[in-house]
Amino acid sequence: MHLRDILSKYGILFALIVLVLIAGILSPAFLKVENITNIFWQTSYIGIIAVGMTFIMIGGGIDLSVGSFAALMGALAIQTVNALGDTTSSVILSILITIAVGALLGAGSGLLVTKGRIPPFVVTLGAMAIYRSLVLNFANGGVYMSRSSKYSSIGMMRVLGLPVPMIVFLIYVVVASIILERTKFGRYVYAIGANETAALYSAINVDRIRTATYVIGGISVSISAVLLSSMMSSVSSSSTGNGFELDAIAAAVIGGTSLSGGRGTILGTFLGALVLGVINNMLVMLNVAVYLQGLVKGLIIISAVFIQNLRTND
Amino acid sequence: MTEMPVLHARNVSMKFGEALVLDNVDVEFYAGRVYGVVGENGAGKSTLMRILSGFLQPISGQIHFEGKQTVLNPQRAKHLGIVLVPQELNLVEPLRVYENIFLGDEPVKHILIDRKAMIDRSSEIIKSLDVQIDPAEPVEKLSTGKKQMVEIMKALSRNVKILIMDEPTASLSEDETNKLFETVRKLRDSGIAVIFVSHRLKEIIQIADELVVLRDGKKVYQGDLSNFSEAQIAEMMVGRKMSEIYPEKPTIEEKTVFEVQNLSSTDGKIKDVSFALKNGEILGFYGLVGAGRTELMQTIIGIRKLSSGEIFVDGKPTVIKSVKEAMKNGIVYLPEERKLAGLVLNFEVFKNTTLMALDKISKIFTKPKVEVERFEYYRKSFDIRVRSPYQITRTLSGGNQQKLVLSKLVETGAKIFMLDEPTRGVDINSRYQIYKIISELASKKLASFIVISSDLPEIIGLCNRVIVMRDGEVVGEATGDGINEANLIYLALGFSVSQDDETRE
Ligand SMILES: Nc1ncnc2c1ncn2[C@@H]1O[C@H](COP(=O)(O)OP(=O)(O)OP(=O)(O)O)[C@@H](O)[C@H]1O
Ligand SMILES: [Mg+2]
Repeated sequence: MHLRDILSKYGILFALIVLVLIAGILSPAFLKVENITNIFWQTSYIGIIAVGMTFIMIGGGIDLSVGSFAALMGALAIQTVNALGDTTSSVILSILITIAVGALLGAGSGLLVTKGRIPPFVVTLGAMAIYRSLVLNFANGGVYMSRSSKYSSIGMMRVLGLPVPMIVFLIYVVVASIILERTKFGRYVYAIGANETAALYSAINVDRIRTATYVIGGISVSISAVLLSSMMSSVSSSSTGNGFELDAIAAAVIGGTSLSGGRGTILGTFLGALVLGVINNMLVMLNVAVYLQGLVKGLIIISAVFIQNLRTND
Repeated sequence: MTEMPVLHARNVSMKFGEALVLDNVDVEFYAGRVYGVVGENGAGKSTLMRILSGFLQPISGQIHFEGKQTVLNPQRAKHLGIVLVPQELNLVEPLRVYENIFLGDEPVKHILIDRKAMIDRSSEIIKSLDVQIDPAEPVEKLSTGKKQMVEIMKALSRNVKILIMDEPTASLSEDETNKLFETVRKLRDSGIAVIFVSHRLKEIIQIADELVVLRDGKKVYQGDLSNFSEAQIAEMMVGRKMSEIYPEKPTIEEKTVFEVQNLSSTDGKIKDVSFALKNGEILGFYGLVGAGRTELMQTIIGIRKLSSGEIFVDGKPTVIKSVKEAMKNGIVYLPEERKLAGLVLNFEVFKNTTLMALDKISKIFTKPKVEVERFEYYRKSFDIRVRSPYQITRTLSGGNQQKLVLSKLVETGAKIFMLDEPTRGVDINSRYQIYKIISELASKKLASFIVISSDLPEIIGLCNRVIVMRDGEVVGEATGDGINEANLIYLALGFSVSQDDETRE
């Protein structure tokens, strides 16, 4: 294998290892178990959304709405629990309702893209504006507060010493990668993203598969939103979810998902999300000005795509 | 000869990974001559062409241009006047014809692109080739044959010294091919070296001054071809004696398995078409490019909408609204453009074989092991040449890609196959294998075939019966002795003079 093949195949893993080593040298506290756990924890919200994004992107689409979508779903979960009362069953019911609504909204975007023949960029840009405006409207620009202590406890809970969001994230990654890489559905997702016409001629229901990727996207956003809003006990109508789309797309792209569809893996996205998480954590620990963090992230995304191109250009 | 070759590949070798694809190939090309390059699928023809035009670097050997050693890259080749018309179309579909012709080479006037000059020059080139193309039409609207012509025009618009064409005629009609050949002769007479790859040996004999034969990456012959017959050339390519290329035509059962009555499409491209297919029959569809044969098949499998008409499968009226429904009724279609519609090029090859038939293999989870076994079956029986089932489809030679699409269709277990130009770009030996596959399935009454082809010898050699279309209508039918070149061409062109006594049963 050529160096550049190795680079593009395992580059993301190398990058992660190098980053961790550098961080460990610069600040020994970085390598403490508690800090590593924290990184996983903080990464899980974006990570789960990025997993959904990976399905959508491999299928040849994109979802720019995930940030305000997450805020809307968080608000929905909180309001539903508040209305139903502080019992375990109402918490469970609310979560299920939130996930169902997320799936439905995802299906809506998917149908507009497929049956409506509107480019995904446009559909989800519109959805982004619509969701944010709904969130702002119902809270009058303020905050949705959870009145349920049961609900709020989920986000901070630990099982076997590990934070629940981290556990959910890891399980989600495993399940998603099985769906994407081991099932017929997953195979079709790759096929429609790589060559839609050939997929059509191969008796694949392109519209249905593509819509399904948006449903998975919606479910992912909902799960993330529940974890996030319960951890915070609240959703800010103006700031929750801001910039999520960028981070989720970045995680996928850094992990090798192609912006033009047909290529990518869940494991790649998982590692991509961790790279982002490690960088964030590092920058904080090293006291880099918050305003400069975007610069570092931007450079990393661009280099990731550059490395990908090394492989595709030959 | 005292004269110096314009282009000389000296002991060129090429490897992809571990596979030696070109083995010490040494060829010379002189100005003002036409070179016919032949070889089986995967023999290395396209690879050699890409090396000669600077798109690939050989691992060893040199390229000499006008006697001087040079290292080629695409820019340098362009500068020297070496132009390649690649095997697979390489056009920007949404752009107009003239924009494609001048892509990357736009004439400029006061820093702006000179559109008028582009249109004028394009019209000139189109006229010199004597084809019907509107320079302002977006390329995606053109037929495959016309797209191929645009690809050739793109080459002609450059300042050419050496024109390399990799299977340019594969998707051209007889007429277009003749026009191209006239142009080629003109270019040759003006001192240009033309290198021409084709699987149609008849064409090679017709146009080439000199023959180059590649076999398994080695040059096995370069020189005069005036004394060779098609069969002799084929033998050189394959390295052994070739038997008869067309298998015996299958006998047909009386039972009608598939029927179309009064079919019309909403876009008006198909007008009131009726025909029936018998069990075990190989039914040919002949016509000029644009006769509506492809559109007819696309309407039948539900890719285009039908406005009226009925379809019967095994005598039962059947509604087909999608490829999936067609497949459920046992009907599959091999599209004409394999790269665009037939294959997922970045899949490992085995995944393409099973893409349509995953439902048979698994309920939810894929089973790569079983899939690889299925692929291995076709690899053997269709002689698909790959290094491993995990090879990426893009890197297969053209003919092997075509066999892969065929494996995908056969794997569905369909009963009715509609094959649109099934042997385009397929070498003579593989072609023989494909005919054998078709004829075997038909003889055993496992399947019936509709074969669209613009290759007359193929239609004549393979089919029990031929339907001829023109302008979206069925204009004639030929069986038995009526299936001959003259009759089919007459029908396709619209001289239906002798139709009654010659072609009706
Ligand atoms: N990029 C690549 N990577 C790996 N293998 C390749 C690549 N390109 C070509 N090959 C292999 O090299 C061999 C020669 O291919 P080539 O395309 O030159 O054949 P060809 O003679 O043009 O065949 P055809 O008549 O089918 O077009 C084939 O076995 C093919 O699989
Ligand atoms: Mg070739």
